[in-house]
Amino acid sequence: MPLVAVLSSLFGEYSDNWNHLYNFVLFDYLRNSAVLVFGVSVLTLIIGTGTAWLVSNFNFFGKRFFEWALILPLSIPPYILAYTFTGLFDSYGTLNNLVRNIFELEQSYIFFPNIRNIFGAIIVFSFTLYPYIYLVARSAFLNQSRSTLESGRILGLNRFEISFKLAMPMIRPAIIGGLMLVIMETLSDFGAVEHFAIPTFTTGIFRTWYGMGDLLTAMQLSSFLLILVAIFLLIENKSRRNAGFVSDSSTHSPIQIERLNSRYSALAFVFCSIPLLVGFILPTSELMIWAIYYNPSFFDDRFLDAALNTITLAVVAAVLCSMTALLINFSVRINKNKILRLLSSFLSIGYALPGLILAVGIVQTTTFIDSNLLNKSSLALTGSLFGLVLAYIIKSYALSNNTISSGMEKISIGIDNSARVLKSSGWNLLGSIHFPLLKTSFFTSILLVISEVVKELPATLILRPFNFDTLAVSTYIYAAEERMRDAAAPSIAIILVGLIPIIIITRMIRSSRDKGAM
Amino acid sequence: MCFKLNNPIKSLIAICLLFSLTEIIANEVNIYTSRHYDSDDLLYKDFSDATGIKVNIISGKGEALIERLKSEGSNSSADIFLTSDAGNLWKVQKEGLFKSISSEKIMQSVPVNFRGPNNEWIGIAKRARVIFYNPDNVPSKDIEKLSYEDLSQEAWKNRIVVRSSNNIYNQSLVASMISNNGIAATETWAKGFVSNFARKPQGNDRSQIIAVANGEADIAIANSYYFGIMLSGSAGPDQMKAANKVKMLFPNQNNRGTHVNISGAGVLRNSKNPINAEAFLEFLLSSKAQSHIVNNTYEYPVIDTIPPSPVIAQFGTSFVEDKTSASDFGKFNSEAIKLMDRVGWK
Amino acid sequence: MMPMLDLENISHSYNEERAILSNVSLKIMAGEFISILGPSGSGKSTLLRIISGLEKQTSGKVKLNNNIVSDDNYHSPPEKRNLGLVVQDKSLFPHLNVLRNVTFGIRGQKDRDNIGKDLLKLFKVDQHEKKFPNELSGGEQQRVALARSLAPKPNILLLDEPFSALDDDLKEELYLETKKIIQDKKMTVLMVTHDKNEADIFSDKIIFLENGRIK
Repeated sequence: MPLVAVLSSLFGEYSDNWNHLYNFVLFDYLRNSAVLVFGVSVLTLIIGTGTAWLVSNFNFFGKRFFEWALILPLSIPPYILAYTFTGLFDSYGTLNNLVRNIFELEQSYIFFPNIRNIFGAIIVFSFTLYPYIYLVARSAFLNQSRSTLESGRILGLNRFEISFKLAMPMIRPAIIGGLMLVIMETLSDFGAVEHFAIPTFTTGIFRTWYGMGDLLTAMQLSSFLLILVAIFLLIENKSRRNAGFVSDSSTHSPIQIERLNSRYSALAFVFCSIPLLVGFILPTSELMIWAIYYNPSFFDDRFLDAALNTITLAVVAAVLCSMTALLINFSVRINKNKILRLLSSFLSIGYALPGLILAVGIVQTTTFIDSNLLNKSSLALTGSLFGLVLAYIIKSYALSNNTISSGMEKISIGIDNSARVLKSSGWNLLGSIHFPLLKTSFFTSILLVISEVVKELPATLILRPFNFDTLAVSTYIYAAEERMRDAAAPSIAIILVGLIPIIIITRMIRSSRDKGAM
Repeated sequence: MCFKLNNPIKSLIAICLLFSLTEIIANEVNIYTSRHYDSDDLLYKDFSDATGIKVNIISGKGEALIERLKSEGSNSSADIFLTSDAGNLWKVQKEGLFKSISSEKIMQSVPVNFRGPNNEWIGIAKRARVIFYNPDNVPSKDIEKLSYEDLSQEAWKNRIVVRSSNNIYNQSLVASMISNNGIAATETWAKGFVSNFARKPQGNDRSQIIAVANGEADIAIANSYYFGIMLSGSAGPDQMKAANKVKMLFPNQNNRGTHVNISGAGVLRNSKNPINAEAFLEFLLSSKAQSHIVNNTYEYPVIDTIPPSPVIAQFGTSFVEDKTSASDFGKFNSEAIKLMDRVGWK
Repeated sequence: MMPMLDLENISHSYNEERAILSNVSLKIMAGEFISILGPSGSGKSTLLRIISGLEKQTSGKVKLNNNIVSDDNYHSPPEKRNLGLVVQDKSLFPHLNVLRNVTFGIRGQKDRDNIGKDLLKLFKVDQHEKKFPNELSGGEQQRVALARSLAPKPNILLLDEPFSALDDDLKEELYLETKKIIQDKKMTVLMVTHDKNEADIFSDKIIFLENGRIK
């Protein structure tokens, strides 16, 4: 419904501001967004598939560690990485000061290049978002059947040819799903691009809304963004259905893991270290230093309350969102319901919607329900946690849907048939067959939604009830006043809270895999 | 394995009800604010301690809060809208969401140009958008009588830094110039001004000041209170060091005065606690609250009896202020943005 | 004697142009073993899917044990038909152990573990009851699948090339054992296969299917 509220703006009037946008800025916005999306796609693909390929095909020093540690940057929101990067690399940031002090250079000497530009933004997005690709790529690599790859070997391909000519192309459909998430998140972000002052499509949306006071045009712009994303999604959907070459998980023999010699092992170690270093260790250590130095009291008074709110909300939203995705995907599979499948894709585009625009859609929806359907004189839903949870579900449905539907595709239809013939249908079929088989996907979905909700800011700000703080809100309160260093303490808290589910769930996934049950 | 779909939904509804219930009871005042200062929290606490009225807060982006207010309509539980920009006050006023403030006490303390046309809102603190220069690189005689308008002159080629035009402070500044000089003159000025930039607009107000301190540029435009924060040392020794290298200058002292924007607040038309709301505004104008604000946020006070923080008072307290009505910032904001787009102010 | 399975004029097509099945009629008496022999693409698997209810025929009537389970107005889903179905491979539930797989169809019954263990013993896989499917060889997996399909005492057992994924020597062994168990239990069976030898070993009667028509 909130999505409909946003899209319905398309049927509203088109104001004069469109002329202005078209004449002066629209193409600039589009170009910047396109460059950003392209750059981020290329870089995340390299990092995500590269690291996934290494840890799933080879044994090298640190592999067990990298396997789960490479997911860690997921706990860092792009806007926080942007803040810390400026703190580190700005002309008078930590690193430039360090270089100057070490080499006793002049104050005006600037060693690190300016990162407040589109290249900086590409790096920021890539190093926080590549885990989406890493996750899907790794599970796809792990599910590749040995026999296919071995037949390649027999046909005379060497080890690397097999990887690039067989293994990589074979996981393409899986990776495209992850890439869609990366693209959508990049398009919807406002915090990081605003900080780097890059005029992207999203900046344009907010500029039109805030600056020109023209919310309708802003929502029309958002709608076009959504339509664009919907087209992407349709293409992806098609490509995935045409190319069903993900092999099925039940009986094939797992790929053979090769031990690397020490030189290659070192190379692999370095390649896996870079994303972890840039995307996690560097920013967290900088934040840690700031937090201790500038605002340690945050952990005494505000932390507990905000952390508790954050966790509760995140868990509730994640469970509801994953269950919704599970139910919808299950019904689509069993009933081959085209309307539900459309609904599912439709809900997925919510991920690309900038949080604040979504929030406006939700406020309009809940106030409409409140004043027309429920008690007319008070607002039961508006400003309640209901709206907030709804926002999170719409915002993160794509994450759940992506993991759960790809998990479901791996369950052979023969299993459904056997179960149905053995008198299992409906809830029983879901509970005794699909849910157990999808446990890993389900938990992954919960993990992704939790880390998304913990990071989510704009919708929280505007939809929350009175006196309700989350960690992201606390961060924003400082960051909005350009007090990045005071924002460090709550940022660290966001990362810590985001880490808990990542660690728990990677352990669960690993143990369920080790048991051999799946 | 079976699904208990009901339970999470039930508990969710229970949580929702719990929250809506807590909002109904108690002697309170509900504030939507786009000011996000820690020090404001202390202010709310002082107010509660003094009056026994509980303060409930939702802070967020001003524009988004306005949308929420509009949608909530007559059911809104908000009593006060508090913001750090006059443009947003004007938007709420235009939507007819404010009611006129009746308190005589308030009218006496706040000058007319910091009030809405029908007293819909009042300023509670001021900030000046001023010029920063590095005395090592810019001789003081060059800039003695400097005005914003002068910054389009050829002499400043590649010497100016300012943040992006997304920023509301720049939008308000340009809006005030449109109000005074008209669109055409302002556009000509802006073209020259933009061509004098030393770098692509980037970073926040503080990075502009730092750029001047480091000699990347000679002149920066930024808000007065950021300078106060930097000088105070609360932002760390590096920023304090940088701030100590630059000087602050009030432009347009020989004509209309320096551009001044306000933080302000108004009582909402659908307020359920209007008396508490006015009591809160009166409190914000009290000497205690005013000196709390000036000494924590380094803004200028709106009442004469309180001096600004000594940290920024050293650069002068009795500067000439541009008396352009704060409503005009809102009124011309859209024109200002389009103008900046046209001249390529990124 | 009433037929256990009675197909009347079954036709099926996915689009107008090409019919998968046209006018297939067939009766199977209780205790009979009938094979449908045909090349791949002849529509024989589709016929099994229609009988089991996984798919609804475009027209025609399916009667099971003298009850109409599907015609133009009515379609009973597979879970209501009490059938056994064994397909080529990959149909075991990977998250359940062997015994749980076999007892899946008789979840509610008190003596399910005994029934399951007996069946596993019959198919000589009782030593694997605690193992998971991916720990079994292909032949063992098919034995478990056969045991599983017999557990609910189905009206009719549908076999869709159940042995085709196995090595030849394994096949021979499993043929004989399966045939014996089926005969002992007096099961009604319909098997589709493309292997003439397989059909000869088992069947009371062989039906040839080509291009969706019975020859």
